[in-house]
Amino acid sequence: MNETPGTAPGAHIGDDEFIDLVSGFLDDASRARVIAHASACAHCDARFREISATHERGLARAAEALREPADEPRVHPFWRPSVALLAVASFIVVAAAVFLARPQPPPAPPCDARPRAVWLPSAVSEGIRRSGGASQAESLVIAGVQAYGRRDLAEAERLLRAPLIRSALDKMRRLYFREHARGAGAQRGGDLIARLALR
Amino acid sequence: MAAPERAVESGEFASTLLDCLGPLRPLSRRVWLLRAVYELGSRDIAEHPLVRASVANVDVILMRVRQHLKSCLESKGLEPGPLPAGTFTLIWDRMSRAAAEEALTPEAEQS
Repeated sequence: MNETPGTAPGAHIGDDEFIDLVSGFLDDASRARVIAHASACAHCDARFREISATHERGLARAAEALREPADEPRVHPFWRPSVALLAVASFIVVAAAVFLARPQPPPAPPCDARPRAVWLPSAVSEGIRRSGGASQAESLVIAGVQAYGRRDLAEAERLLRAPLIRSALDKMRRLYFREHARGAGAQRGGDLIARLALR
Repeated sequence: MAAPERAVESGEFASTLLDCLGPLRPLSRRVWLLRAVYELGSRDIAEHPLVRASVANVDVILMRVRQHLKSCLESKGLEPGPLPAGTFTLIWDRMSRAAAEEALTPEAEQS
């Protein structure tokens, strides 16, 4: 199959000589001899065709493998992976900076913060008393509000706790007692308010 | 062993075929040779350093060359089909010589 030409008359052309022919390494005389033989020899013609096809296919594959990036299909620069990643990272950094630099709302109070006591106006009790007809229970409420106005919280608690019957001033009693309880302590005030609400 | 009578037949076929390929552009002849003779795929042809075209362009060129060769060979009394034995070497010889001449005159590619 790979016999050397010229060594024996009628011998087939060897692959090496075909490769040299395809590669352009044969001189004119050798080229003419190989062409003349292969064009009259079906076997050599087919073998030359195979070698030529392999050679051409190799050229194409080598060109594809060695193709430079500039020959790649044109892609918009933004969609190249490195540029796109850089753009996304930049966006995240800017968004974080804008978020952190925004005006900060006042900090919310802690959940266990003690409610601040609000002193209610005690002068209102005078008007209630002048409205007349105060019952005993209402008199105790009024007295409790007056003690509250004096900041006598112990007396205010005692008087405001005393009324056990509901009256027109019951809402006022609860209001003052709640504020008093807040001033005395959150836990204690919560307990008192809960008891009053149940009555 | 060479067969003289077959050489004559293949020579006649090769001459007719080359005559039909003659009016085509060098690129079209090259693309046809790579497909019809070397049996390369469109992608390999497109990547070939002497072609450098898109796959779609290669397919279009092949379609046009086939149409031209079919009508040309039929007009000369030949049937388009597989190359007769011994034809390839003659075609290769003629086309390689033509390619060498075209390399000396690059403007031929533009025609």
